[in-house]
Amino acid sequence: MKKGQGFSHRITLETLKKFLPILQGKREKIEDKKTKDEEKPRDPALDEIESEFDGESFTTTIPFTPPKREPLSKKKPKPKKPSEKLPEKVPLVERGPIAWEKPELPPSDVQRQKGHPIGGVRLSQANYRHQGQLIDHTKYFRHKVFGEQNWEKFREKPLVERAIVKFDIIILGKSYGINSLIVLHKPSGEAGQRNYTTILTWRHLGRLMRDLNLIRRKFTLYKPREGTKEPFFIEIS
Amino acid sequence: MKAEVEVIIHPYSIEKNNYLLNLLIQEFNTNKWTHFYSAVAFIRKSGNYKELLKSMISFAEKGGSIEMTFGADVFSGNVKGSDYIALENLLNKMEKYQNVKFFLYHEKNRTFHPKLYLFSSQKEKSGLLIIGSSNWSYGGFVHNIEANVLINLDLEDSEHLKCFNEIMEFFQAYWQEIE
Repeated sequence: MKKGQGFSHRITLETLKKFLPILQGKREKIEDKKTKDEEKPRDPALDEIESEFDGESFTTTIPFTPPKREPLSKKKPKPKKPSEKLPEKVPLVERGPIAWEKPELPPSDVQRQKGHPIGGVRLSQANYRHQGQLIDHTKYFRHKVFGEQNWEKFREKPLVERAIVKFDIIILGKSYGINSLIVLHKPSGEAGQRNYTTILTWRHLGRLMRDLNLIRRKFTLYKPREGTKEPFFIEIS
Repeated sequence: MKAEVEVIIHPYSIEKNNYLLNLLIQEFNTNKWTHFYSAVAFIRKSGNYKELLKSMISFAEKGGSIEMTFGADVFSGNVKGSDYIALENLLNKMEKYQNVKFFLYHEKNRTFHPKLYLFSSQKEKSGLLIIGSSNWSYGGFVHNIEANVLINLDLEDSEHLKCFNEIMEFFQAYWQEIE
């Protein structure tokens, strides 16, 4: 076989199915196509069918140097942390101890990711320690931090619980007052790789979060002052 | 000898009823051609227009030969260039004709990217070569901004014949399975 040959196969109704790994399948949805490379392991059937196209490629040499390609793994430079001076802080209302903090908010927590926004802050582990122990975020928020709130069943399958909780919110030193936000807890997310377990949804503040561009800001969640159930306190600084 | 050349650029030419889908249907229906070859990067179900398939079936029924090669490339994110269902549809409709053959081209790390359509007639010693940007899809045939050049080949002219033969060699040597 000459170079460049061996890459074409005749197809018939009988043989077409075998080529499915290299064709857009019947049931593959557009959403599937859009998932990122790292989320989809390479289909072993693809390797198998590729071995059928086993020619020797033409090799080409040209007297030109191609432009340098960015290595695929190269991380995008992180956006610089905003350097503007924060306004004077508003006088603090009495608040409880810190319950959790996330040192740098990712774009997805503050409505700035590409694609469909998540709509809230993922209450993740974020290397946060409670009483010297790393928290188990799958239980910590639902049972410890917001354990005393009124949780209700929001959806049956998969089970999602929700609680409406009041938060006194200060962002970049400016008070946004007391807002009722929804905390969602999805126990099935504990097993899911990329799923949230507990999320604090921004609700009506979503647009504000986006406009303020709070990427890489610090998020601190405070418990209510002693002896009270609400409000909790959120400070983004 | 100079070839007769025409350019059709979608969607602007559509107003004049001059677009690839219409052209292919017309050419299949002319009774002028005896062979049709194509080498096209992507085939989508959206390109399998009922009227187009009808004209191809009619062409095959009259003894016309159809040999088409489509790319089967897999891109980043596991996106595939050609639709299984589109090929299944073509095969369902046309496999029964012995003079119709479909091929898939797949070369790892190299994309099969031509958009070449060629009608020819041994009897009339002529051909119509269409090369441009249109894939076998609604976008390629009608909707996208696409540019295609049509070249009328006079196969009695040595230069035209040379060009035609060269293309045929590519089909036979590389783009069709060697039997």
